[in-house]
Amino acid sequence: MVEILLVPLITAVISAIFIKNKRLVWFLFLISNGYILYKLYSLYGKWDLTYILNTDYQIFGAKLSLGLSNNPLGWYFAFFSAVVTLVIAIFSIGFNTNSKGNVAPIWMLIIFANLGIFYAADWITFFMMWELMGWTSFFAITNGNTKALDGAKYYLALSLLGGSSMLIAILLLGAYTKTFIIITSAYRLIQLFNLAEGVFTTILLLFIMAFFIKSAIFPFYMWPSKVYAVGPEDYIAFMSSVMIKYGIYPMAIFIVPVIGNLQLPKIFNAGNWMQYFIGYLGALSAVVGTLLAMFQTDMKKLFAYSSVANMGYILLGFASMSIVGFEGSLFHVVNHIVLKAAIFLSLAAVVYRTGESEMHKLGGLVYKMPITFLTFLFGIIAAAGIPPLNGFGSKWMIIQALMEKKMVVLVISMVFASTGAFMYLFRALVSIFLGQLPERYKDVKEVPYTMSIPMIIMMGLMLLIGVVPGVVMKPLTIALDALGYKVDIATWTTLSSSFKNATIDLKIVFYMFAMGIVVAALMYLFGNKSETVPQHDNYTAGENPIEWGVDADKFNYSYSFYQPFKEMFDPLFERISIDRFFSSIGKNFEYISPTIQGLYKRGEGAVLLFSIGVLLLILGGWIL
Amino acid sequence: MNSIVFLVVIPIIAAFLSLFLGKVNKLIAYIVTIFNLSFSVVVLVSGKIPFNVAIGGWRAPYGINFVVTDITIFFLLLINVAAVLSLTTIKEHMEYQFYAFYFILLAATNGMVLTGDIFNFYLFTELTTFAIGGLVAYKRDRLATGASLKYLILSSTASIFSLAAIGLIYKTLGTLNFADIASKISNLNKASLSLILILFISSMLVELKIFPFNLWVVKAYDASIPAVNLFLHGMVSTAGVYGAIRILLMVFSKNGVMSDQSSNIANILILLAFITVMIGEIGALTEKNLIKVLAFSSMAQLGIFLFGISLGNYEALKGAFYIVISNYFAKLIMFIVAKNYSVVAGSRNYNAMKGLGRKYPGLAIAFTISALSLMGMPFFAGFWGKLSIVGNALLMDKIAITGVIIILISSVIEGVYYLRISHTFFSDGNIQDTKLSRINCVLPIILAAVILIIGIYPNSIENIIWTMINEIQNTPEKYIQVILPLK
Repeated sequence: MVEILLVPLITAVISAIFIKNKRLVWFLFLISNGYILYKLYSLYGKWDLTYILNTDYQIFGAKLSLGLSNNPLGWYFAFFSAVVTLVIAIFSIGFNTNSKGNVAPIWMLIIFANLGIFYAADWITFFMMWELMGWTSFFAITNGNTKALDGAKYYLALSLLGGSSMLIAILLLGAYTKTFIIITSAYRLIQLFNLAEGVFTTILLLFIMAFFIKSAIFPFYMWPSKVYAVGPEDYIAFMSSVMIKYGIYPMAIFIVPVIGNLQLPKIFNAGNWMQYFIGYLGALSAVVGTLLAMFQTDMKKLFAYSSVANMGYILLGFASMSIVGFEGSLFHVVNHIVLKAAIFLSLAAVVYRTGESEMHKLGGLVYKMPITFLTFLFGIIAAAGIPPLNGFGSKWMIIQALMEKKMVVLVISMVFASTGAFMYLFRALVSIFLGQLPERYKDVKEVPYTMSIPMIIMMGLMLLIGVVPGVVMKPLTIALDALGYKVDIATWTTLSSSFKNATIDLKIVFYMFAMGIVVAALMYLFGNKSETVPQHDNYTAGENPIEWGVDADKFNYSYSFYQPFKEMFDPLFERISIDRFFSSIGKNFEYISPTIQGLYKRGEGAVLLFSIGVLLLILGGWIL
Repeated sequence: MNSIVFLVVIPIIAAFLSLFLGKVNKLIAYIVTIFNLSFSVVVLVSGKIPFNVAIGGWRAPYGINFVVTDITIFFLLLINVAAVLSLTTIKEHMEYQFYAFYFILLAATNGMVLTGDIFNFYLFTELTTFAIGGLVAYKRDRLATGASLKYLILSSTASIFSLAAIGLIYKTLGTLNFADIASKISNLNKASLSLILILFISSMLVELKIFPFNLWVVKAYDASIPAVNLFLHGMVSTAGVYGAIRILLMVFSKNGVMSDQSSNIANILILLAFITVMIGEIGALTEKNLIKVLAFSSMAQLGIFLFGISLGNYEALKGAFYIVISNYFAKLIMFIVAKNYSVVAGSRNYNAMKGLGRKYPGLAIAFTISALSLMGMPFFAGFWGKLSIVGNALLMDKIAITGVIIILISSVIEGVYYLRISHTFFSDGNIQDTKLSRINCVLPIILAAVILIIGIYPNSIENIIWTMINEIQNTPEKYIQVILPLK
């Protein structure tokens, strides 16, 4: 099992040595990812595999052993992220033909850390891989690009803060429960609740802070928009789909079982305060993410906030503490990986051909880049949660779970966010692909085969998971069953929730849609002759704007798309700005710094400070 | 092995001879330093450790003795290796004063580590002060003279306090020998012990770069030539760390834990330590001069070291040793890289070094590995130290927990500025003509590989450190009885 970690490590070193030879490096990248996927597939079901490395290093009096274990939930996360990473790797071969830097060696190190996080058996290994992922992603985002430094610095500071918080939590957990193994420490932490409630709450909150920072949950939700706009686009597809889930995995494997097994009093007969804490933070992320996404003009920032909102949905599913909600959240993890990767791949294709990422400067690319358009369309249909694509099943399960537990406010926020999502998703589609094609882009072509084939594969995946959710649900339910949860093993095409008669057979849904498409196709073929109209007719409804003194380009409505809506929410976002709060902390440190430098630059005052130091020693050591 | 005095005597003879041997000085310097290093290695593998040499035949505690134990040989090796590596960075011709001062420095730092007598320790500390004072002022411009003067004034103040402490020790205990003081320390009452400790610590903290005693650090590093930076870091700092460990933990404490009589001093030391860390990291945040950044960072790392040894827990002490090792290797690499890059870029501002990482990736990668080790990132040497110190401080009282939180926040700040420098190295920039030969990249890469190996597989270093902690834990058997054998 340890080959699964050694292969990415060796590939990273070899890629770093041959970094100038792009073809070799990206080809190696592809082969590595293919091997990892194959190896993960062969590890399915072998839940007892472990690998322990004993060191002589003593911590808290005992020698440390680092371990990997093929735990079922970790396998689930690793396998599906490896599938999507492989598709992105195929895309990267074409995308990087003209790129300046080479992000492959660092990316391979991140994949090494990726597998380490999901396969860690004890918290120290987990922490080591987590921190490795933190600093390598800084280098991957910046990739030698000076303009990327500000956003990456913000992300790095948050990431290191989360790492420090997790370090304190892990060491407290190790000291009080006498073990570092993840599953054992969860059991003992539950018992610690009765003995030392203060320590328990501290440990839990510190862990939750670290996980929320990595998964961009409120109030740490500002970094995706800063980072996704400046990084290399194929790496951003990986980062926004896979890496944002790193906080969700330990929530699922550690926090949710711990909270679920506590005997706390229920509020309003629905859930205990910790469930509501997680639920409200998730709801806030969903609502705020959706609102902020509507106001963006840069397409990458828009989808960054969409990721924040989707992480909010996953937390809402966890907050319900029911098995349907838990399954729904974990199903949504995979769904979001697939659809976000598809969307970002199509955005990367647009940037590859046009070099532009502001939506109001694009437009009308639908006929020039049809495959990109179709992938994007499928992506936003899936993101909106519309059958027969994959986003529907998971969102349906989460809402069912919340309704069953009578958490009404959370249901309302999820429905608001989910419906509001359609506003920004459609806006992106219209601004980039529909409308008028600007003059400067009239020679834009579709992306080459190496890049369009991965996009077609992603479309196929979204349709497949949407119609046959058992592809994901079967491994998920088998994994949960192996962990000890009471689940029924899912079938291939039906989804069920906990209410009576609440079962959806997605085959039937697909047949209905297919029937609709067949009917529309028949109407098209046997209807009247169609006439080809120029592109601007699709929004001018046959009128000629030149007659009114505007040309087609100016008439295309894509800037300030939701102006009235934005004006409605501006007062709120002006007064409370989380971004300003975190940035101001950084700026305060940067204000104090020159003062300290001045202290050390002066010629005089050294002996005075020496005397003050002696005074401190006397005060502290002698008098007190 | 009476010949252990050669480690001190031969450099002093060379110091006198250097006044007359103008051109051959560099060769003599290499010969003497390599002799020192090989002699230390021979002592290490000879298996006679621990042993005690009474100088002039006068038995301890009546005379001065040189004692070699595990801790001694460890620090001796560190100092001599740093001396050899620092000499490799001298490329141009230096005047004879430089080599004279350097030989004195070599003799004095070796003597500090070897000696077993507190007045002899004071003497070698003074010699170090003067030697480094002269070396810092080598460039003879306004900045160098000012920096050297500041350091001399502060050190002289420190030595007044030190001398007063030694006088007090002689008055109350009647002896000047480390081992003898250690065995008689329990006879002192609390007030006397506190006074002696306060006086002694005030002087030690100047060399350990702890706020508010460290106003000399940034100027001294900035004003000196790169070789002197490495002398300051590799030799003087390391000897200071040895002094802290030997005196604070073995002479004035019981078995490595500051005794109840002086536990308040330990709390003040913890406070000063984490204030130093905070000031060092915040000071480095907006600094553009790379050498000054490294000076602030050295300050902060020694703050973490002091935090580790003041906690009174053996695992935290082990963590402090890891921090010493990690800082030692990392700063050696970083000063060498800073020197090479500033020669190519023509300035010490790291923004002028933009893009040099793409041309000379070996140096930039070594710098990044050192930076990550200082930040305490896993898979690098500093991580094991951070883990031990943070873990054991969380189990102690409130001041230690506050200290841990401040140190962790400071390490976030450290991460931001170090990785920003790394990013500047790896960005696109316009590079001038290449003036750097590839041979300069070899040494940092080897040292970076050492950091990586310690980080990935800490077993061998762990065992070495536990041997040293055993010596501290069992001070009576392992140290005192080597010098004053029970009759």
